[in-house]
Amino acid sequence: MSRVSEGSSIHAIQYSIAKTKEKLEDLQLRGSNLKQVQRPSDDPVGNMEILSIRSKRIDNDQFSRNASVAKAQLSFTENAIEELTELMVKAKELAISQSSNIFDPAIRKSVAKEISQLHGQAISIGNRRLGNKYIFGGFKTLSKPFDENGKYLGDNEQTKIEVGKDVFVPITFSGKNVFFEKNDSTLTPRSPLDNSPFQELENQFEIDPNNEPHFKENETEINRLPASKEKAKFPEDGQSSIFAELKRLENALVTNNHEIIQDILPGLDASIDRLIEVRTTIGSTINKVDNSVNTIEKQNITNADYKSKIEDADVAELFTDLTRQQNVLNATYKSSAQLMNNNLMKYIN
Amino acid sequence: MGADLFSIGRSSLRTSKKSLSTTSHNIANANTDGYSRQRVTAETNAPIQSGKNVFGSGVNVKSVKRVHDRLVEKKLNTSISQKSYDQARTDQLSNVEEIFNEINSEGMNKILNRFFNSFRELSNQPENEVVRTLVRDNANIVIKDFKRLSQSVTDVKNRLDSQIEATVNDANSLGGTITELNKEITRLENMGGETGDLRDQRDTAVRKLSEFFKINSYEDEKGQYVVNIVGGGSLVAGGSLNKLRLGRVAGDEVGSYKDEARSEIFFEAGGSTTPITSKVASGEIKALVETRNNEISFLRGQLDEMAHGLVHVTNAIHRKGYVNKKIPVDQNGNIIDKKDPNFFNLPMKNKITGINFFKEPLDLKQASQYIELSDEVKDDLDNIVTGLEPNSPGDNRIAVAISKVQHEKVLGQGSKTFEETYLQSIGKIGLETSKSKINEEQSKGILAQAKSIKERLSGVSIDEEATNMVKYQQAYEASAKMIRTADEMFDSVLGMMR
Repeated sequence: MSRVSEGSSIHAIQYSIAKTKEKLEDLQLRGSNLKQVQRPSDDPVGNMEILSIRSKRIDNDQFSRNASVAKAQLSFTENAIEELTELMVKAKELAISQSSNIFDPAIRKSVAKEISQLHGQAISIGNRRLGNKYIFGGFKTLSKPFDENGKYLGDNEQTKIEVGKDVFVPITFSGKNVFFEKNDSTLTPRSPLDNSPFQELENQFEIDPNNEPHFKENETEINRLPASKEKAKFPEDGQSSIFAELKRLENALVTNNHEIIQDILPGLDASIDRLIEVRTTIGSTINKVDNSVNTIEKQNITNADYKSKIEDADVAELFTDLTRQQNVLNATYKSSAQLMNNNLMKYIN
Repeated sequence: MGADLFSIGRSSLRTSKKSLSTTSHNIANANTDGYSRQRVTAETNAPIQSGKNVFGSGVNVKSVKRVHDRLVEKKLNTSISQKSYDQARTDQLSNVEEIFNEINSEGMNKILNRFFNSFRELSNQPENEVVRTLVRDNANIVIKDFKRLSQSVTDVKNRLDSQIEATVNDANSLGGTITELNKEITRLENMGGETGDLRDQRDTAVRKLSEFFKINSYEDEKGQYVVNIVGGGSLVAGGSLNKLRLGRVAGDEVGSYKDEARSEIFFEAGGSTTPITSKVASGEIKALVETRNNEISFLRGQLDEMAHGLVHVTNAIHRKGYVNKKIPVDQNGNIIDKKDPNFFNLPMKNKITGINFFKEPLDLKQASQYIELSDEVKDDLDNIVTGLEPNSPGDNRIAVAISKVQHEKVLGQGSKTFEETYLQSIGKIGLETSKSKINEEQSKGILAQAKSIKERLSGVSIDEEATNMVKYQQAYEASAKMIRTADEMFDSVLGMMR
């Protein structure tokens, strides 16, 4: 038989009440926001995963936003190029109709006028803006890329943005690529991280070459868009442009030179082909953006599901536990009260 | 014969009274902390031989002893040390953990993430002034949060330091109390006095001291009471006290980071320079010093490394770009720079490239405390650069490069990203806290058990005392009656004489 003293029984009561209350408090806190993890120590690894999933979610929201920006800009550019194609087709039709040596000078004059108008329209398309940004100026987005003679003032760069982790898409097409004849000597594929200060940091940390963003899909099409290193200056001699062709056509019509008109036709065809090619590129880029958005959405759902498994409390279990602990506490109170209020002194007179 | 009856009666009265007063003392101290119940040991007086007969000569009080077991006491003290260690550690770590708790609120992880994503937003529209405001605002929030974390961690460190100092003082004064009690007990015992209550007081002091350190106390062969800090050395030996002091020693490497100083405990005697903290087995002081020197220093180091890394990498990229302004160029497209005599007549007098985003240079130590935007960025939003080439408002390559830093392993010698560094730090604290919480629950259980064993043995039971009270009272009454009987007998004898 073990001895029971006042101290030992009071101590036992205090210990059991404190322990039950502590458990109850913890359960109540969980019940108040239905979360399994309240602080890092509740689940150190789970806490890390929750936070990392939250970051991914913020990243993905930003990527989705980037994707909408990319899509808006790409569709706007596509529309402009579509108009330009129609314009060129019209110019071609007019050129064909005037390509024989049998002609009416009056009609030729009016056709020449029409071509001059088309020239003006083409320049206005070249100087088109989305918001305050000129879409065909390369990086020179805040100044007119073409003067009234069709001289290109922009550069040959492409703005690229990230629409998914390490997925970069071009959102601008420089006037050089759209309005000018292709010049194969300037072809260089590049990613926005090439030649950027980012690479110079390699001395301080290793960049995994596999992580470096490159455009594996559609590489051929995108790479065909030149991104030369030459700046601001563009020697127009030797490189024909839509404006030069239209101007030449107009001059030929005015001077009644049908041989030159015939000579111009293949150039117009090449321009139309190039415009169609650019539109295809834009189309496939939009596809790529859509794919990336889909991937992001799927990822968000999977992550939310996973996060909930770590973070959220099992409601049924939680409330069963809560009720049980409450009962335990009540029982402890009752038994303690009886133990505390009784001793022999009461019965000795 | 009659005189014998009187003296037996008197001895019985005295013994019963002493027993009753001890019972009363027990009841009075039923709730006194550290009190051990006392028991009267009675002994029959030496019998008187008269011829062939032996007559008993009553009772006397041999001693009043406390009910006490040295081993039980030792087990209790050990569990107190362990529980104090676990509890102090859990308390401190929970505090720290709460600073980094991001479950129900915003924290550094989210804020840093937003910072990088604001550059991603800027890469969408590098021409846009409003987005530059967003970038600067987010950078300011990052700075604020670095400072908040740094300040909070420093606060915890300072609080720990003053707490360590206070506990060391307490330990010294408890050591002093024990020394005084030792002297008093020796003096009283030499005079044959009762020392139960003083011993209880000394045990209580040792128990209190056990909260700070794991203690081993014993009486050596010369009867000196010795109090040893297990792993440290002797704090009290009889009447002499070896005081403790708190000192600072130069910091150890914590990761790749050198903390300013560690707090350590030393013995004062002989100007000892060997810290005892790491050798001490358990107790509150060990927990405080350990948390301060390990976890807090570690966190400070991690925060500083992150802040320093962020400043360094962002600046390295940012410096390559050109400001978002019209930059004068000559007819060949070359930038007119400061060497050009015309430069100062041009509207562009300020820097056009090589601009830091955050303020440099920044020492690694306390980087998280002193992180700040550069004056250029503070003054003019157009100094937030996006382009790698001058006069290219649509060039977003700098913004893209900065946003990509988010996923690059730039910290820990190229082994971790910002997020990994931060989450691993929290993970480490979380793991330590949860380990400590489990230990605390366990050691609380063990302590409860040890306390209950001690209380069962030495604690006062009112029921028991009530029974004893009745028992001794009856014995007292019986003795009194005995004396009256003896008196009556004496009277009858006297009456015969008349």
